[in-house]
Amino acid sequence: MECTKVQEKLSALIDGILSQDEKMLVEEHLKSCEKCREVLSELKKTIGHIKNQEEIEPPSWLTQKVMVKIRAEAAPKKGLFGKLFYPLHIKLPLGAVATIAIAVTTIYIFKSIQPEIQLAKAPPEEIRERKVQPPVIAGDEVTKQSQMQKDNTAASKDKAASPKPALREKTELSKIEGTKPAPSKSAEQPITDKETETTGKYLKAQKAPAPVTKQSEAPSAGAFAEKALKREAQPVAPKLKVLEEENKGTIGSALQYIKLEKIISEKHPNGSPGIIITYKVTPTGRHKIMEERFNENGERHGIQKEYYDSGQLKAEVEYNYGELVWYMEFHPDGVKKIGESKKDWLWLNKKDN
Amino acid sequence: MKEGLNIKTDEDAEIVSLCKKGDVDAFEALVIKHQKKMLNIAYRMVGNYEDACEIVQDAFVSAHKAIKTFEEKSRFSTWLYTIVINLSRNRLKQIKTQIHHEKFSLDDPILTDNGNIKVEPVSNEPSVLEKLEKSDIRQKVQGCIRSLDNEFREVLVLRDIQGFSYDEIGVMLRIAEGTVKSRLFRARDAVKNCLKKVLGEL
Repeated sequence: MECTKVQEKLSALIDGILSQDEKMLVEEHLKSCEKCREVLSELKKTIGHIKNQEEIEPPSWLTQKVMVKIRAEAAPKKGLFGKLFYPLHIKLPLGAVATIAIAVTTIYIFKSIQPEIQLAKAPPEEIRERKVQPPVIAGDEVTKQSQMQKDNTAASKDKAASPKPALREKTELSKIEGTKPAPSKSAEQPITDKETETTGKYLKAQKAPAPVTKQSEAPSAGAFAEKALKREAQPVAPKLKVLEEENKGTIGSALQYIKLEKIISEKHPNGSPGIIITYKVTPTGRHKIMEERFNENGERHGIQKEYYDSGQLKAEVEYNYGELVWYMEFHPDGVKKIGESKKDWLWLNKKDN
Repeated sequence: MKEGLNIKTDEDAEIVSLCKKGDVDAFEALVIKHQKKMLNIAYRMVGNYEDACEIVQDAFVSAHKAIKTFEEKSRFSTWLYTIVINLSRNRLKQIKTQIHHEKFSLDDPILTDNGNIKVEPVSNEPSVLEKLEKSDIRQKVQGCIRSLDNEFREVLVLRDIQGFSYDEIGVMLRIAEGTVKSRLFRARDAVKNCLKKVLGEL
């Protein structure tokens, strides 16, 4: 056998898969051919180097992340009814409320846009208050319900009083780092705590649309944002104004998108608002809040946050012009810095692509 | 359990049947068991840790979605690794598109006359060889592996790093055993030549 042929078979020889005959021929040749022996030796060393490559370890969060994704995939298959009762999507039924409320809210916004432009610096109390009430009142579905009830029982004092102090507690999202799952809903829902886990909640949410017209409440997405915002207890807070609302699709498709504008005292030199807060719920039920700022150079700088259903911060991403600055994921057992690559950031948005 | 030509039993058979019945939690055991190997396959294929992690997650999700249709003709793990390989291939295609690299085609390895694969950069860096010379041995070896064409890298990773048999590799890559043999030979040869260049000697 000649050298070329022999060399072709060396790999197979090493793996022990040559037939007896071939093996004999090759070994015969090797006895007298130094060149081929050298090739064989180099091949063995090469394979040795390759086998020396260390196995890499998977990150500790991998299992959990996979299971979360799998469960999210599994859940919707229960059907529309199942979707509505799925814990993570408790807020979805309130999309029904949102859909109905949108019309009213839109009119509200249209009406207010004109005066808003004129009153750039010092918007009148009423307009701000009116705008602000919707997100506030929808503190969380349970809060909302009790507000409804209070409304119905003509306790208008409560309505006026509680939104304002509650509002004062809302502040910059950037400081949000809630760890306790139970939000500050205590004062206003005497009865409803029990019902959190039952279908009664959904039914109540359905009833809510009736008295809604008075208050044009923000949809559940706003409710969640408020819940998250409630984490902060700061004395004075900028007001939130609903810039625009969109409920793409109907109940169940669940992409709810609300842009809230945080009015701050100083506007950016280029005239744009200082901070824009965007909130959205993805089809798989992930809650994301994005807060974008404009720095002195007019560059957009953003922080995007994602929350567990409990209100606890799940992940935080900071970026400039879409380039990732850093990315952090929080787990029930602690904070982990994951990395600085854009791929990680893309992961957060992957389902939306 | 019948496995066609394969008489080996599937260690995962029990858990798989639970999952088929809809037990989502049972799947977690499979995730824990196989993730490391899957990650390593993906990592050696795509060369990037974050991408590899993403691929592993996607592979598990896909596998779980399709588990009811898993026919048990091969071992569950083989099936799982095949998914990883396919996702890795997809990812590599994506990367190629992103960097407008057109020197290689998956179906058309560049072979020189003596059967060697030309070592060309797979990224738009100035010179892979230059970079390789500066890094340590393991990085150099990884670099040489990365410099292979995808189909050659696949067999090399599966055989020499993961230790699968020729038969298993054939199943995973859907190629004949003869093809496995010849690709493996060329892959090893190419890495050998690459290493000689960057290490000086083996």
